[in-house]
Amino acid sequence: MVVEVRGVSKSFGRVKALDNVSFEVKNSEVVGYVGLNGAGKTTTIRIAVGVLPSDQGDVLIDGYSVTRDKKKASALVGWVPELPIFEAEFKALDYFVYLAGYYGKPPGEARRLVRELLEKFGLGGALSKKLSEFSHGMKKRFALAVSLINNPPNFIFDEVLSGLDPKGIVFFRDLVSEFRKEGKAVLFSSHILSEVEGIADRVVFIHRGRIIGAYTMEEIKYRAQPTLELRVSRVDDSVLRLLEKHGEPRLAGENKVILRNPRADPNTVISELISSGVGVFEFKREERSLEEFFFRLIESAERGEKQ
Amino acid sequence: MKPVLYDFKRGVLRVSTILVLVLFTLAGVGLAYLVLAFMAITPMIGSTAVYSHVDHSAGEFKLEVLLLNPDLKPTDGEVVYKLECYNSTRVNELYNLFFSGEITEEELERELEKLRVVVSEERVRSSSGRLLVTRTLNIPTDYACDLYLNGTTVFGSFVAKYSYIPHQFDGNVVQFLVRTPNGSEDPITRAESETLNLPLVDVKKGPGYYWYSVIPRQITPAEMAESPGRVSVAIHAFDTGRTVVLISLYCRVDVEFDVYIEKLNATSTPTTISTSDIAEYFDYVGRVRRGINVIELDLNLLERGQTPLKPALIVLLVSRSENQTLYSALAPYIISHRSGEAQRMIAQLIASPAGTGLFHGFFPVVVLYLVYVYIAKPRAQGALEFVLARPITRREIYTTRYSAGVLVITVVTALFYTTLLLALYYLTGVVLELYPSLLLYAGLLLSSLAFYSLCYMLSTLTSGVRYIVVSVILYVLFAFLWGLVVILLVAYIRGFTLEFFEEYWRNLYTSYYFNPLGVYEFAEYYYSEYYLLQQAGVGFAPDISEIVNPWLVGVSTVAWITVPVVLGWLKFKKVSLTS
Repeated sequence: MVVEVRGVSKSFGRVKALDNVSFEVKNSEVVGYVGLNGAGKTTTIRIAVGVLPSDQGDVLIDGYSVTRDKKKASALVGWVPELPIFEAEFKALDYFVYLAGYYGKPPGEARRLVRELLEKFGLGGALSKKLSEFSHGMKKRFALAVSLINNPPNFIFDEVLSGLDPKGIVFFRDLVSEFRKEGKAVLFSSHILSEVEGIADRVVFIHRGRIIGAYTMEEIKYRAQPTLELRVSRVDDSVLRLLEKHGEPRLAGENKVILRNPRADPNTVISELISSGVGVFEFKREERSLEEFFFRLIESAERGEKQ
Repeated sequence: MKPVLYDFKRGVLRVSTILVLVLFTLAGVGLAYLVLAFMAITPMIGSTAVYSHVDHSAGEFKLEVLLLNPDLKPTDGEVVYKLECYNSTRVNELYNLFFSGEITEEELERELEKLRVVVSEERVRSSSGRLLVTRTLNIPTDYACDLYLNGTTVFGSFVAKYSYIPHQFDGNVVQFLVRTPNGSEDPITRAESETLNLPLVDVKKGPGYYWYSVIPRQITPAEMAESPGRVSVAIHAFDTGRTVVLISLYCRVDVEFDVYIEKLNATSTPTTISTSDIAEYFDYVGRVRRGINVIELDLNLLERGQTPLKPALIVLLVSRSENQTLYSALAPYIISHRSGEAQRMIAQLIASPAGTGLFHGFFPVVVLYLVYVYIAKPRAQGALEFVLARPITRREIYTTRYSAGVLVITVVTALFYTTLLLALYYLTGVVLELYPSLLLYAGLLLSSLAFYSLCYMLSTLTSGVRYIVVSVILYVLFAFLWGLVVILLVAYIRGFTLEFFEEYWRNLYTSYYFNPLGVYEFAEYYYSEYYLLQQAGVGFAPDISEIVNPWLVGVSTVAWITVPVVLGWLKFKKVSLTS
């Protein structure tokens, strides 16, 4: 029960989407796969589940290559894509039975299973609905049900939390926790590190097609530094110079500044800003900012430094 | 359920496919009806044997009609008969007045018209080709009758008027008529002192000519007056060695007659023989009695399947009892037939543009839509990726969906074709031979599969709406514009010459090797060759037997089916399945 990504590279035309990507997900381990949009998460996952051929490298699912032993490998992994796309003219029940045929499930057993799983995922009333009538959330839940057709020992979820309501997120957390207890390997991608917190045991970071780090959640929290996030009326050189006295300011959007390792308390920083004629609309202090850690990681990677 | 079967099921059980299937099936049945209706109103190629009598004393009218198809097999149909009678004494008087100039022709016609009385008129359906009507009618003894028949079968229709022959005996008056198709008629007479008079078939051969005549047997006026009945005999010989002897017989005494036909090896049959010599010159072939009789013989009367071995053959009917010997001797001409005429008519109908041609022209639309449903649309949407994440390889997705389409096409084509054949069988009773039927089916199926393969390849090169546009353009080109393209090419290269039509025809068939739908044209060619039919829509078709080479047809068909599938696979295995 392990997913091994070994030196995978992939280009789309001149664009190198993945460059020698390697990492693994072990038994009873939940790994978050984090990167900005376009970093290569989905490409890695599509290669890992065998729907996209890689240019180089391979992915092994419990030792089976997704290129050479595709059928065996695919039988050992469940996949929920970010935007599940089905043959929409099918009814949920029929499509499930159709796909179950690829797992060797006879129609009777497949029908029993679909009722059980769709009920579990809150789609009990949508059995006879056409898939074209499903909302985005329903499609995700249906894809989740399909991934459980043969209860595989490995799961790969692509941006599974996006689009889910809080209830859905809690459900997913519980489900992953259950998988962990059952000894399954789970890889799930996200572009928001804080989403991964509380679910993943370990996080693999990817940026511009390259793995830029892999840390346990404890390690990330340990490495994450305090920050003061400010939304102000203007940001110019004078404001940045003022803030440099109290820490390491970094522009984080329009009129938004993050002050890393603040040496003064927030009240002092805010008072100085106001007295300098800068309006402060919002501020937030974090003892350990995961996002900040993530951005630092990216900065380091772009500078070519090794963390 | 295996996914290929599931794909097959969803390929068939979709509204569009079912609708098309129903439409084609209905079209098959409807067109079978329409063209047969057209055939039914054309003059009948088949034949009709008729027997009827009006017994004035017993007050009985009897009509027997046997409807025959071009192969002289009984065929169902409908006959409207009208029995019209008139006072013969009064008619004679009127004619006398006319000939003496006392009345004009118009007055004669007017008076004759007034005299005619419709005694019985009815529409009757035949049962297994035989139609039998018996009615009780009181018709005065001095009335003569005419019979009008208006019949319709799927092989054509006919209109006929027959006049009855009056016959008197022991104070009884009977009118009768006997008819067989292309038959000879002869009175039944009593044999005198066991001597039978025979007709003379006189054949003369000379340099550059071949001439023959039949001189009927000698019957004296007294014998004629005493004649107890009349017989009509026809001999129809088929190239398969089958001979049909049709006999329509009236005899006032309903007795059985033994039927003999002249021995084929008899070089010279005398014009008079004794009853004891019958076996020397004749073969016994059966026994008949009053009404219509059909004697089927396993006897080849044709040379090389075309020319009768003898121009006419003497047929002898003899009824012997203690008191007397009744007989009739006739020499009907042998009518030669090519067998399977009925089948040929139906075969031509099936392969016509209104039959399988219609299916061949429009089924490719279903084929290209099938590819759209199986590959082009899900590929454009990105739905194939989700399927590929199952324990299945790309090659399996490619081949599974291809196989499902092949299965759908095979079943739909078979369903349409079988429905058409069954409809025609139901309407005509003609069963077509297996080989040509399979040949035409193979043409329909293989051309659809070739076009399916082409579309399948196309779906790997493009997808979604673009696929639809390109495949429809190809369909219109291959199905409808092909002939025009060939015409333009021939005109451009060769110009309009006297041989233009022949050039076009030859180039058209050559071009079919380069058209995925061409295999149907080749199958139709072989089908037509089998039935010796002319090419549909062309009165005179140039010889293209050198162009239609069975090996090339096989190679081009296999190539059209396999090459696009393989090329498509080479593309599909690399193509991104993301939307």
